[in-house]
Parts: sequence; structure tokens; C-alpha cells
Amino acid sequence: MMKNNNLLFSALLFFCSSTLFSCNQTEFYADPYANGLGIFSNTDNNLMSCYIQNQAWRTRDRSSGGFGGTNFELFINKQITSGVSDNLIFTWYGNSSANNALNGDISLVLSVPKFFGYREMSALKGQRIALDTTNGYFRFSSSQPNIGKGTGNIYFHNIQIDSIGPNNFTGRMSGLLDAKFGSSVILSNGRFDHNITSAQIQF
Amino acid sequence: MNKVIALLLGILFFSNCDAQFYVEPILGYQIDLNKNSKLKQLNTAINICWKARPKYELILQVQRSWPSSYKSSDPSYTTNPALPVYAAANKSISPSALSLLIGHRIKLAGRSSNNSLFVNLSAGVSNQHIKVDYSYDKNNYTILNPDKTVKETGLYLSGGIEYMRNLKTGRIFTQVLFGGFIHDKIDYPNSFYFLVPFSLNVGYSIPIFKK
Repeated sequence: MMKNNNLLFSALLFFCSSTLFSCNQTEFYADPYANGLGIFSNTDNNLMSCYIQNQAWRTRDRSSGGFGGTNFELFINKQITSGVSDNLIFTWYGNSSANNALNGDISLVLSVPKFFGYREMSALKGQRIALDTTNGYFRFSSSQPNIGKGTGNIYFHNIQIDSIGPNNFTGRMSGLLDAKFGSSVILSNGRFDHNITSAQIQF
Repeated sequence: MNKVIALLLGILFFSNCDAQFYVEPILGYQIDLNKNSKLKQLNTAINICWKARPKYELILQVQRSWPSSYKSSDPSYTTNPALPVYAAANKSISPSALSLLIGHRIKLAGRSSNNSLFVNLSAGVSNQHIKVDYSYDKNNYTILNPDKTVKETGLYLSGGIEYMRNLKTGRIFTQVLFGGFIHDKIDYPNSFYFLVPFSLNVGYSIPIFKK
């Protein structure tokens, strides 16, 4: 009877620990030179942070396990269009430190050729691209009124995508970005650093 | 801090008035033993030394390590299309430290001559301050993996070998020591660690009291 109780207790403990406790895979190191932002890094910190209207904004923590399941801060997908080019979309999900109206997601939409694949994505490494809404744009979705497409700049310090199976990719990327939405909403000092798992890339 | 020093000196002074006391100014240079580190310091210290027995001396040491700034650069980048994408951010790292240590000087050889060899072991509290300064275009560029200033106060151990020569008016000595924090983790991905100093010092031992 006592042995059965111990077994039951162990099973219950294992169930509780595996469902209650999630694993945080985001490293936030505060930038000593930009209040409220994480450092610009290339060490897989799984974070994008920036100022939006001078308020610090950062992506949600990447976590796995627990009741919430796995949460990713970034997804990359390729959107097939009926036009001459397709869209490569990077979407960051996050929150503002001081203004809930800024909680939402920020997307980078790049216009890419139909043949664009993971090898071409790696070719973005070291490139700085000025987005003028014809070659791509930024999009900011929040509870604020629709502010339309944003212009801006992105610098891919590193981006490397590797195929690990049919339609199955992993990689890493880091860089800088800034954007302007409409006449008043400005995203500045953006920096990102991610280790990318196969669940985040949808080609 | 002043009260602690006064108390320790008082204990030393009154516990054995037959003992010989020395004041020992020390000057030296130290490098960092951490892998790939180029941090260096000038080392100064003052010892109050109590020669309790012919082969044993108890030392109270106040040590100050002065920074010898190490200059290098880190990469910085910008999204501004009007500027070059890359620029070097000039970096200066200045490590300094202040320590209060209690040490033991144990004679290994040279009991009957003017030349002696000692082993020196110390323990105490140390404060390390590693200051990082950058010089770059802060408005346009962002540094990749920047270092930041760190401070830490913790338990500190040091040890080494000391050669001493008796003179008519005192004693002159040179010592080789190394030390470090017992716990030295920095919770930030800096390019450096708290110093593990390896020092070469010279000092002069001035007798100040004998009953």
C-alpha cells in the first residue's frame, strides 16, 4: 500500500512539474546604452527589441512546455501571390513596457522572386535594405487604428537557414531595423537575434 | 572600514608587545591570468606586519590596484543608408580594485642568513570595478555584443612566494602572487571576466616598534 502511494505521488509530481513549469529560452541582457532595450547580439538570445513612439517594446519570451505550450516570438513564412513576386514575411510578437496600446506584432514583408528559397534567404546576410513599399514594407498590428504600410531599413548582420529535411529548416539571424508608419509612429533602435527552429519557418 | 582597520591594528598591537612590527609600502605590476585577457594593473599596497615568531608573520594589507586602460574596438552597425553600414567603436576597459586582506608570511628557508624565502597566503574582501567606455556615433550606430561596466565585492584569496633580504635599516623584498574572487561570475556576456591577478611586487619593510 505504501509503495503504491509513493508511486502515485511520484507520478503526480512528474505530471505537475512537466505541465506547470515551462522553459524560457529568451536571454534579455539590458543594453547599457539604450534604456529598456536588449543588447544587439548574435548569440541566439531569441529577442527583438526597439522603441516605438519612444516606448521600449520587446518580443514575448520564447518558452516551451507548461500549460501554455510552446510560444515563439518570431515566425517566418513565404506568402504565394498571384503577381510576379511572392512575399517573405518575418513577424515578431511582443509588448510595450509602458503602453498596452502598442502590444501586437510587427512584420517585415519583403518582395521576393517566385524561386526564392532557403538558400536565397541566407544570401541576405550582410545586406542593408531600404524599404520604400515597392520592394517591401513594415506592418504594425496593434489595438491602435490602422496605420498602413511602413517604410524603413533593415540590416541583416547574419541570416543562415539550413535544410534538415523536406520542407524542414532551422537557422539563426540577427540584425537591426527601423521603420516609420504614417506620419507619427516611429520604430527606432530595433535589434534582433534569434535561433530559428523548424516550427518557426513556414515555406 | 576605518573602524575595522583600527580594531585589527589594536588587536595586533596589544596582543603581544614583545613582537616586532613593520610597515611595508609595496609597489608592483599585475596581469590577468584569464584566458586571452589583456587587462593589466599597477599595484600598490600597505602592509602592517606583526612578526609573531621567527618563522611566522601576520599581515594586515590594504591593497589598491590602479587601472592601466586597455584600448580596443568593437564592431558597430547602422541602418542609416546615408552612412557606412560598419564602423569601429573605440573601447577602453579600465580595471581597478581595492582589497582588505589578512595574510600569513611563513618562512620556508633562510633562518640563519640575511636572505629568506617565504610563502605568502592571504584572504579577505575585495572590490573590483571594471569600467568600460565607448567612443562612437551613438545617434546612428549600434554596437554588436557591447561590454558593460561591472562592479563586485566578494571574498578574495591570494598566495605566492616572497624573497626578502635584511638590511641595516629594514628589509627589502620582492614577491610573486596570484589571487582571485572565490565567486566571480558576471551575469552579463562581457568579453572579460573579473581579474585573476598575477602580480610582481617589490616592497620595503620598515620596523616601527619593538619593546
